[in-house]
Amino acid sequence: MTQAKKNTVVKNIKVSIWQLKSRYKCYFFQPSQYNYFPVKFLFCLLCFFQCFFSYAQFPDYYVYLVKGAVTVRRTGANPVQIKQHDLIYDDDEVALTRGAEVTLVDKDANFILLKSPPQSYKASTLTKVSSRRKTDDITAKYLKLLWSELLDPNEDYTKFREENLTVLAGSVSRGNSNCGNLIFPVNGLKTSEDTIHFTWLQTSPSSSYTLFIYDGEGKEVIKMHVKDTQSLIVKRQISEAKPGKYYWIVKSNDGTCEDEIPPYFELMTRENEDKLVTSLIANNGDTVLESRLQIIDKLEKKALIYPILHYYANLVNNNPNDIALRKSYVLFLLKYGFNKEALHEWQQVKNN
Amino acid sequence: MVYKTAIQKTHLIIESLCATIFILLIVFIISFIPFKYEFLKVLRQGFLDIDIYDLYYSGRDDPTHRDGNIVLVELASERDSIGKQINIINNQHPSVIGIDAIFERHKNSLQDSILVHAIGNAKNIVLSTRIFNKDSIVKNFFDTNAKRYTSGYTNFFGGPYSVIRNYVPFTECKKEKYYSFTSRIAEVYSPTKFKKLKDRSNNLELINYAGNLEHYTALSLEEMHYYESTGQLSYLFRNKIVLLGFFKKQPPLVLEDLYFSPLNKQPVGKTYPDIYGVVVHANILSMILSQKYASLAPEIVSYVCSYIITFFLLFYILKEHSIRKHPNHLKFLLIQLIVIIIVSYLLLQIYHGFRLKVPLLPIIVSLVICVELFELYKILAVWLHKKWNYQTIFKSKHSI
Repeated sequence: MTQAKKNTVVKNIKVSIWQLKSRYKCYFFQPSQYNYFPVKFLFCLLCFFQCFFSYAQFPDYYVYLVKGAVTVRRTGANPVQIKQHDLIYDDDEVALTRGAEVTLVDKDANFILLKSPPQSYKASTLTKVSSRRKTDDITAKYLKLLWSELLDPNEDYTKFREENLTVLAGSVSRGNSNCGNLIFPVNGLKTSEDTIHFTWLQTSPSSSYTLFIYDGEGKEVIKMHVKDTQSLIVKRQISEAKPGKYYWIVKSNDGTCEDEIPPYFELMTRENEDKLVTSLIANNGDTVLESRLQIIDKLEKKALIYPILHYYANLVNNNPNDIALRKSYVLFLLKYGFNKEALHEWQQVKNN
Repeated sequence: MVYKTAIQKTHLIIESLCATIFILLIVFIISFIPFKYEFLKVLRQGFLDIDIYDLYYSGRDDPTHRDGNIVLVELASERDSIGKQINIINNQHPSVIGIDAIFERHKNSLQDSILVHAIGNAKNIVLSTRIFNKDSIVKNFFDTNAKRYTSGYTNFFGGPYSVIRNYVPFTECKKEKYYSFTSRIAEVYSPTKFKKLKDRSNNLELINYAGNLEHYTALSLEEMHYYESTGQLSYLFRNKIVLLGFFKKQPPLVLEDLYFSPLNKQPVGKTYPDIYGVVVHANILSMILSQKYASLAPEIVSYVCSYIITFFLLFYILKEHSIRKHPNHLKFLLIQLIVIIIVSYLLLQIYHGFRLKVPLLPIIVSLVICVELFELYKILAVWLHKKWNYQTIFKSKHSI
């Protein structure tokens, strides 16, 4: 037997033992279950041979419960619907539809509950979650209690302290799911632009955000850390610029009010966008300014913001002395978060 | 000179021992004060209901660790629906079904018959009863002499605003022995572990909490029906203890059957109740099945501890008095505070390591009052010296 073959056999034995252990734990971690030794032994034996001869890969998780539509995608394969008892591997990507949840058990019998949103999880990142055991740090708890009960001066609510004023809200919050912090792309935006300008309002004191973009199936296509309230994304980055619906959302660790419902935008080909724009302005050959502004309204209703930008810019250039038009253009730019362009245009207004 | 110092030291030790006895005697007398009076309510709620050992459990919420033996299911609101729930659960062959609800009176014939039929068909079902007014038991309306059901009382130990720290596994009522709901389930599920509980012969068992609702696989009503329709229930319920009780998985917590527990994130002061009754039962069962009991040291241990600690503190105070006529009182108070902090911490660590709870109250009370009562001891010692020639370091200070 060659050395390489020996190594393969040794590796296979190791893999089989490991998988045997993991399956054993998954199926038998409840002490009361299947206590009948011959059944256990037979199962172990079967598992071992199955693993050994199938050159099995390490499974990392076992599906305990599934609620709603949850899929798993292996590298180079199509997504498959998850069922109870399925095994999940480190390279897999678990995707959940809205309202779905899945309970996984890892090889140490830790339970991990995945809920949407976010819509997709990489299995390799879950190990960090499962290994994050909370230690019973009794000393820290005790010192915290001592501090809060004996020493913390803020706990004295008889004297005025600014920080104590912000603890109790004194009212209820309504409609927190939509705070309006996600500015651009607006919900339903249709575009064929090569770069898309993402803008949102500041919600985090540290200005540290994570921009997520999901495709129509809820799969994460972009996850990007941004230290600003805007980001330019090249279309190619988004799922190789495949036409279709995409959702975006921004999250931060210390944000106060952040939109929870992701707005969508639609990537389309240049031809389709042109067709759509032409269909909307086709019957309007009028050169009167009012009619042109009506066209802008029509395009805005269809969320064709980028074509409007070009259209508006042309309109303003063709009417250089129309200050009111320039001002409304500035307002339009500000509304969709094109602050730089708005500033530039405002300076033009001031110069005139 | 050395001989004189040695005699002085012996006197000091003897006097410290006597002073400690005096302090502990007063602590013992204080322990007889009935704290039921309204004017003592502030003291009781603000001080006596605080247990430093709660810190061990406080804020314990690790959803990655679950008890695999117990599944909680939200109880339906109508009796016919509960009957259907029992049928569904029973079809999945659980080891025991525990119903944490009482059906006291007849309600609606059709609904009642569905429920009673389901209970009758179920294998290994444990029902709830309630001890009422010490000498009467509230049973389910269908539990009559003609047909007996396995049942146990669900009462917890404490008042309406108490933190549920312990429970009574067995009790006597009208000279008849009764088992608690969890003891009954343990008896059906694992007779050996039940025997161990019985052999402990404790009237009161401390609950060693494992966790709140997240520590268990808990199914809401909708989830149970969903998992049934997708065929996932069988694996969930087979050979498990299924507890049917009231709880809500989604916040906010509903006040029905909701209690205070040491798991509360706020261990001291006013707070919201945090645990549903069925979860407390689940925690008791987890403790019995894992046999990770917490033990309560006898009161005498606590008094011995407080005697030793108070002795050393008083020895120090007496020594200071023998050196200076008017030692710094502030220094004593500071040392007293530090000793209290260190002793509480050490006892907390003992509980953390060995699950042994030493009653803290006598220790803390004796430490708190020893410095103040020392003045009283001084007067007493001088009086005893005058009357019976009691040997004290204050004999030369008759003027005090």
